[in-house]
Amino acid sequence: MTPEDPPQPLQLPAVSVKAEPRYLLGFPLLISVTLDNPADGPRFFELPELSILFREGPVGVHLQPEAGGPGVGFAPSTARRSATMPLQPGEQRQMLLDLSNFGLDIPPGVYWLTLTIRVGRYSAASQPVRTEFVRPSASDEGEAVRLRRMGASPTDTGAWAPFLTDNWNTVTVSPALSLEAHRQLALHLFLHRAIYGPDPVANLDPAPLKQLNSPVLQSEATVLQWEIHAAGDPRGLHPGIIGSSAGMRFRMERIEKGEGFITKYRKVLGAGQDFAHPPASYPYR
Amino acid sequence: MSTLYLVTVKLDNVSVQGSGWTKFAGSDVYFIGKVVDHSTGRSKTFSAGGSTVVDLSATPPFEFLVDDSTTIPIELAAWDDGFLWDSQIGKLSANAQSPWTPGSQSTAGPGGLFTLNWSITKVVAVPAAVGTAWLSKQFDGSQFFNALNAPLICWVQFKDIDGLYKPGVDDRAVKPPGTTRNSGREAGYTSQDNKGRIFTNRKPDGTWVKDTQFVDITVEVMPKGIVLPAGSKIVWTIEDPDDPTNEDPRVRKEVGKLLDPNDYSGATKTGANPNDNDPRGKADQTPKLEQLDAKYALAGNETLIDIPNRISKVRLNVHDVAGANYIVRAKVKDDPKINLSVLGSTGIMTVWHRIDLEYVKMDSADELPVADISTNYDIACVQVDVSLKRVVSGASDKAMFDSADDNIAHTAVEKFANKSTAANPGGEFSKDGEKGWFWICAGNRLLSSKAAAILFEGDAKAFADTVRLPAVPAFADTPAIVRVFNPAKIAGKVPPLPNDHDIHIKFRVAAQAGRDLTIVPHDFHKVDNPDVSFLDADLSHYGFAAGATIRIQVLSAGDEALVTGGISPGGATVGGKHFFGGRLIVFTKNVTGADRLITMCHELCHAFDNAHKCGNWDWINQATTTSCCMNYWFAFVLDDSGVRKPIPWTQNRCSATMCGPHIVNIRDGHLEKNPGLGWG
Repeated sequence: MTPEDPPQPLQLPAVSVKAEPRYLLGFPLLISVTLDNPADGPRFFELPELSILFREGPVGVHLQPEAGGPGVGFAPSTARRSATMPLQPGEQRQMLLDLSNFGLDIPPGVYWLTLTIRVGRYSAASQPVRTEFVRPSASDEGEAVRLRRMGASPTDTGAWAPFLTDNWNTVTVSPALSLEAHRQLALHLFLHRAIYGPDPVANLDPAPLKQLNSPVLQSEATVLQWEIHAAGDPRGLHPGIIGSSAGMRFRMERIEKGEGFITKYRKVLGAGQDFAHPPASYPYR
Repeated sequence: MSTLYLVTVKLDNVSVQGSGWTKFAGSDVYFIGKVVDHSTGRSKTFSAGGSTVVDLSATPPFEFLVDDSTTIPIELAAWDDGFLWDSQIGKLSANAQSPWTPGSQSTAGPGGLFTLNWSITKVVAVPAAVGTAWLSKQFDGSQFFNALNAPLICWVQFKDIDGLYKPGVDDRAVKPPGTTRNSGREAGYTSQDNKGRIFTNRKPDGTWVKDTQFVDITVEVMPKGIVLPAGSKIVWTIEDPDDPTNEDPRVRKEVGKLLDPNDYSGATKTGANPNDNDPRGKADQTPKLEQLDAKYALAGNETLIDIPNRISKVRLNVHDVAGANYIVRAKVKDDPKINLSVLGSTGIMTVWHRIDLEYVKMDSADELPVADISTNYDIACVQVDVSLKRVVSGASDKAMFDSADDNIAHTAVEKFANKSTAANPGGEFSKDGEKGWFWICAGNRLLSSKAAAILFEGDAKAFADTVRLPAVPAFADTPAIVRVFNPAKIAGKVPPLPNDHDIHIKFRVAAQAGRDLTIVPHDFHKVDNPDVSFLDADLSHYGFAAGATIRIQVLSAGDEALVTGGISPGGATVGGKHFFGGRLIVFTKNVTGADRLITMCHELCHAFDNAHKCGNWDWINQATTTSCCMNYWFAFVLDDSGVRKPIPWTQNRCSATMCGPHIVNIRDGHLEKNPGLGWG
């Protein structure tokens, strides 16, 4: 390359998506997104950092009905900034994303889901993955609405982020909730109790996480279990554990620094806050 | 009672004369006339003197009920229609006064440059009541007699307009320090100053109610003691006068065309034309009369008069977009028994939006100039009242929201910008959930203070969205931004170049590959599209050819590189689009001076569902042009060509005011439909 050679177009990390084969609408719609930067890739300084709370930023979603017809979705926003993260050459990061937080009106049906990230003028899209959205039973739908509205939000758009970010209520799920709906809600129920409950991180019962064994949730559940483990073990995490999952290495490193997801959000949202106005009572005993 | 006169004054034309006028030849000139508080708007422009006659005959006549002691002031000002800003060339004044007789008059302007020809076109005398009349007698015992049939003359007086607010009046019983109220109710106020406000989504008492905007009008038939025929009615007329905003010489022509399109034909101003309410068809509610009481029964545009009290009332429902304006006229319906029925009239009443602001100041934060916001929103017809001020201390007086984690800090701000309830301990928006309330907080910092370091300074090559360094760098820290300096402003300056916004622009750094830094172009958006940009301007758009040498600095993250001046927390996302939540925190340790007001006006504009980074100048004609508050200081302003292009080195021009597209978007906005507010 001479000084006059024009630069090559920026190669964004490869984007891949895992989705459940089927989702009940009205409940959290969690997918797993992995960004994979090849060893000879550039250093990235501000890629969007996705999470279960992510709701806006340079990320686009497109759902193309398998049966044809107009798609559902939106383009990455160039104006709204979100939390960002770096990505080194050869690094991979796996993150959850809850599609419910985008307030999409998804008609029931089978779709091909594509996720796009944008950096500057460049975009990278995932391969489409097949998934189905179905309308829940009336009973499940009613329970979804009731639980969702426990989270403070000006408008119920179907988003589940407020359930975790603004919800100082005791959450008791209707025993009539179907198994499928319960499975879709399980991570949120665990996180709500972990963030707002009386138990410090080290004392949390990891049992509910062990039930989360779908390909979408398994890595996240494992990381959260390691966070609980590390909080109770002064030796922290074994180096072998930190490097055991390439996509989750960054999360393990944060746990090592005392910045695990539960620890941080418990402090900023839940029972670990430095309260201006302490709550009259706590939601869980 | 002395004699009253119904007098009609009309401005006919302006005769431009005299060789002295030649100093203006080549520049467009226009006139603005004023009779009492009624403006004619801008006349057509002209560019030559000599025997030019500027016709004002399209200006409506102005009617006044006067007596012998009244004077009717008339003014005419000539304005130079400059390319960048307008300046007043001269002004004349005249008075119409007793004796009231129809006829034409002329008033010469300063230096004999122009003469206003005006006239009193009509005078109707309303004689004083006479206590005694002499009648001729027939003869004693005659069965015949003479009777005096006193003429029945009446006029309508507007007694009260409930729901009409007068600017400058603060009618609150208690006025806590640090709070403001920019208009209030005043008994008998009928907007004769043409400034009366009717608020969208508000009942007359100010209570916020969705899709509710009206005034209740009471008129009294005069003179007192008059006995009207049974069944007499008031005939109501609703006029849609010209939107006068663009007649203000300070308003840029391009903005004027957006605000009041029916005053223009192409690029030419054709007059101050009426019937221009809801020019963009954004209103959901349209004007209509509504009956208030059976004794003032409404049929069509007529209401019954309560004869014993000589009172009639009606409700006028108005458009739900700001800037729509009305004159209501009323007269007693013609009746053979009524000899003369004189029309009464309101002044111009205009629809405004109004928001109540809860201002929360962290005890250790600096004070924000919240009272100055409203002035900057006047042109958008938005009244911003600081209705509650609270100073918070203890755990709510935060030095920062997190030491270093941007994501956590944003989440903490979201939490803080909510109501403190059992369900959300820690919030400081006490009016959260009450419709009509926005929230502004003076905070300290989002994150801990951190000094940015200059990682590289020197010459580099520009390749559109890539900056090529002379060698592969060994940066001591992560590069965050690239400053690009104006070569004309740095000649002779030695490194390190100062952090002077007048001499540089800056870009975020997205990635690094070898010597190449990929920068994030500046995205520009139409006001109604916050997500998809119409231009992503990189160095090539900013005038740097591929391979051109540029003087740069590469900075690490820190206060001088990237600092959060304000955040709009809350809101909701629908269909992937974010709607703002009417909440704003300004970090006063990061934003200083005039930038605080700009930041507040910027973030508040978002609450009306506006995108930022428009690339527009603001609405004001002035010697040093300033740009819309929705721009970021480090981007260039764009020109108005079909494919808009950056105007070199026009960064750092942001003002607290807005551009035309943002003004009309706010006027047309429907806060009740914003899911981020949840007021629907």
